[in-house]
Amino acid sequence: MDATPSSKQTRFLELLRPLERGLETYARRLLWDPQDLPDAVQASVLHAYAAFDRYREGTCFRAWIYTILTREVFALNRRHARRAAHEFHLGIEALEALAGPDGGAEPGLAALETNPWEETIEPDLVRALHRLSDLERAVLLLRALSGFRYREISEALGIPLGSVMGDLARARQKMRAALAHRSPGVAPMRWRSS
Amino acid sequence: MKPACDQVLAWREAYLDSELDARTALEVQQHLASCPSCAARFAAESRWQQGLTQALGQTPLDPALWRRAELELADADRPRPVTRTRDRTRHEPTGWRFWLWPSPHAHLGLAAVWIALLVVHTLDRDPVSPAARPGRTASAQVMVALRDQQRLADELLERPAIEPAPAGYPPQSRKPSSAGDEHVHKVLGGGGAGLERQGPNFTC
Repeated sequence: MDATPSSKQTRFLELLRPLERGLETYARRLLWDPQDLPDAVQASVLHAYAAFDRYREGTCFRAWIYTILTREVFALNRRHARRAAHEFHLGIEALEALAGPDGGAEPGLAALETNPWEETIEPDLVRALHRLSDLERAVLLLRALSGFRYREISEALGIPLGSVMGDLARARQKMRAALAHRSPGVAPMRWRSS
Repeated sequence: MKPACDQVLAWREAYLDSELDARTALEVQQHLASCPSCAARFAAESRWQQGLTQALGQTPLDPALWRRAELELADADRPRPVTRTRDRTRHEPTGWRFWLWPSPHAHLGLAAVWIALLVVHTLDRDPVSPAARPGRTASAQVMVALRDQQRLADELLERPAIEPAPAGYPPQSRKPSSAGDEHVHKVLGGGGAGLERQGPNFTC
């Protein structure tokens, strides 16, 4: 069996590896269910590689791979929404509320909270992100996490430039409102449509 | 003309995202230099966006995730056996409509069954029967068969009642008990004498 990677594979990985960290963070924040992350990443990589023959050298690989990943995540989110309509989920807080009479959380759940950041703003951040629509969340994450310009977001998501600006403003407004108690110095401003 | 504070605040996000054109960005910059209130709002917004970016970026990463995906790429280059997969783009009916869906295999199977039934039916016919003569319709064949049966019934039942009994019949040794018995005697031997000639073992 020939284990030597082909030139196509080598070139693909050269372009992909510098973006892996950003792609993973973006996918984690965009997904409704974090357990879908391996499926999203694997499907995106395979689909991108299968279509890599159509990729033209010199064009923006980053926008292309983000587009593919966004579509995969949207599909998984839709599947998750269909499942959620028939299931009952409990969050960490709800599970802690179901703890014993001493009021302490389950040892297993406490062990999960190893990241001090998660003990501070992470639950609020996740809740605030879940208040956004898929498109608003994608626009916000592409801008805030990946540093995409408005036009790049427009091309990656296939929406007009004006929609990018509107979705971004709405997403920020919702995040401000949801995290107002975390950042009292910044009062949420009304979003203007003009 | 210097832009008003409301106008500058409306440009706040675009300015902080570096999406304003150079001229407008310069106007905003000049306004902020002369307006401490707007400058404070811009600075607070900038801090909030930086905090949000930092918070969003703090997620646990799984390096093995991408290594597993890269291993899948190695398999993707290998030729795979051709397998028939269902064409999901093709609309197929469900429920009872499925049985009306055109299927070449099902239609060929039904045709084969019909041909087999036709062959068996043709070979099963009695070739000497007048009812099975070629060219006759089913109703004509039925009528011929009924006529044959009626003729046979006439022979069995009506003829002895119509024709007079021959002279010397019945013999004295044995008298027929009924008209049918009488006819049997006539058919088998032409009279009771014939029965007598067949010997004593004949007990019919």
